[in-house]
Amino acid sequence: MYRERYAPMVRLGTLLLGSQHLAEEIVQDCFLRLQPRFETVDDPAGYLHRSVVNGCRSLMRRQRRERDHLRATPGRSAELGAHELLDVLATLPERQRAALVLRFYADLPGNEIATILGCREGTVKSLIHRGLAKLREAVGE
Amino acid sequence: MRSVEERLRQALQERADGVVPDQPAWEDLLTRPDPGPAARGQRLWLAVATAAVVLLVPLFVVARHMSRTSHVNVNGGQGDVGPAAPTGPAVAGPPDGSLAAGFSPASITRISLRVGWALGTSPCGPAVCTALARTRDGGATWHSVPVPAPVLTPSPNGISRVRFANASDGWLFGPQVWATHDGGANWHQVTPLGGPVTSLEAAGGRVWGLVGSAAGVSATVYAAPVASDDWQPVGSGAAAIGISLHGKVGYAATPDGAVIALGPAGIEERGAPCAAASVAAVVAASDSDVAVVCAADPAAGSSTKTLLLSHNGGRTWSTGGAAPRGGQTSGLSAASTHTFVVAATSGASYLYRTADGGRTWKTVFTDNGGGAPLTDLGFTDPTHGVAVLGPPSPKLLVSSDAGATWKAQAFGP
Repeated sequence: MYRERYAPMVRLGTLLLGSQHLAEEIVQDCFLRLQPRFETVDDPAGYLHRSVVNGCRSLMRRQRRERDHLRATPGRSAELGAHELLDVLATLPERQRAALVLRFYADLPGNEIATILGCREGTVKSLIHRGLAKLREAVGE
Repeated sequence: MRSVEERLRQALQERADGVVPDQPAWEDLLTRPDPGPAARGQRLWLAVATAAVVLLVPLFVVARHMSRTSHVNVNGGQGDVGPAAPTGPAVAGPPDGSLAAGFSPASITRISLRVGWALGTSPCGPAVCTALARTRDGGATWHSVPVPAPVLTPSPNGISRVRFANASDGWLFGPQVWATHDGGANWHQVTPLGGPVTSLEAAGGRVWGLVGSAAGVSATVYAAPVASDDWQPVGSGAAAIGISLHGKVGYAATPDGAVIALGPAGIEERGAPCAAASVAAVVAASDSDVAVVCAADPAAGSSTKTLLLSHNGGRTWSTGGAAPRGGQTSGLSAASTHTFVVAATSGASYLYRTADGGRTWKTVFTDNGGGAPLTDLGFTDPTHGVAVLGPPSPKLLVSSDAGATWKAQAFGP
């Protein structure tokens, strides 16, 4: 499991945090926390997934506080490339960012995203709707 | 025009495809010193704060530069997890030994912020012996690991540098090459490649080396998968200035000043950026961002050092600016696509730093010890850098603020 799930979890964490190094720290900690519980957890893969997302969300909140007074506002352009789109994504509130990454990268359905984020499915829809609206605004759609 | 959903999906996938995790062996992870939840949270918090304060850019801009070059693993290690699959490959290397007091570093390599190796010498009786030290806790403690018996006695014809690609695959080189594929438990000499190996770097699953010619002017580029010893010459071009890698691509320079790109398809010449000067150093700042220092107007203990930047893999260049004249350039490293550190030595040793692509520079380190060489300058991520100050007072220099400040790190058990 460590061999198979480490890289996917680091990739997910990197998309959430914007930092591979920080994602690896979170993922390694999650594996270490999972190990003593491995035999008793019903769904180790799901547990790991939730742990990584929640660990990243916790860090994203700290990042946001730190960046609020440092952030450079991305320029508005109809020709934003992939990197710029991700730059805009990084400026979204952490729950919107997490919902968008889980939907459009992890391809998770709304109910699973709701379980991971600890909210109702309707809230997930709202987070994705508002997140996409901000991305559309940034790209000029 | 595609919808924002489609563009976001593609952008996320492309970004994820570019992430090559630095996976430690499970055994290494289990033996990692646990600082506890509070300290771990503080460490992450400090990392976030440092990155935000230093870089002043959105996080995904930072992330695009995370996959670094010389001193970082971008290949991923091996290993397996306990309960589900208890018997993974033994990649943790030899057990830690006691590092003799007086270890003097000569070369450093890191595969993550925690795990690294330093090659140097330690007192052994009335003489000194080649010694290899390993850290698993970011340099807080260092322990001895064995070196091959034939190179135990330091010699100009032996080894002088160390590189590891991951927890298993590493090399001692310069001019000989010795390889390990089990974390240093066993070493073997790589079949002679026809000349001295003057530069060796590993990233993206491949190890690249410059094999010098008999005349000693130029070198041939060789490469091999990191887990094998199947070294093969790559292309027919010659290179003289050492290799700098970023993921699966890299750059070097030829004796006549042309930058060459190294990649899965081979090597390709990209033109000579330094019109009336020579290339003194080259560094890959990202897959497509490459920088060189052009050296001109040499004088006693000084030269003009102009930083040139390319954002398209060396096809076109723009002038960033000139670093201070003191010293002759010996190294260049990139913390990001706009933050660079230049190493220079003359009667003194200097590190010069720019955080704005070369427009302005600060001298961030000076050693007046008689011109000790500065080698192995590199960044493991956008904030953490290393360099080795050579004799007469060898030191490992580390930075945790993108090269703005440097301090010596001690070697202790």
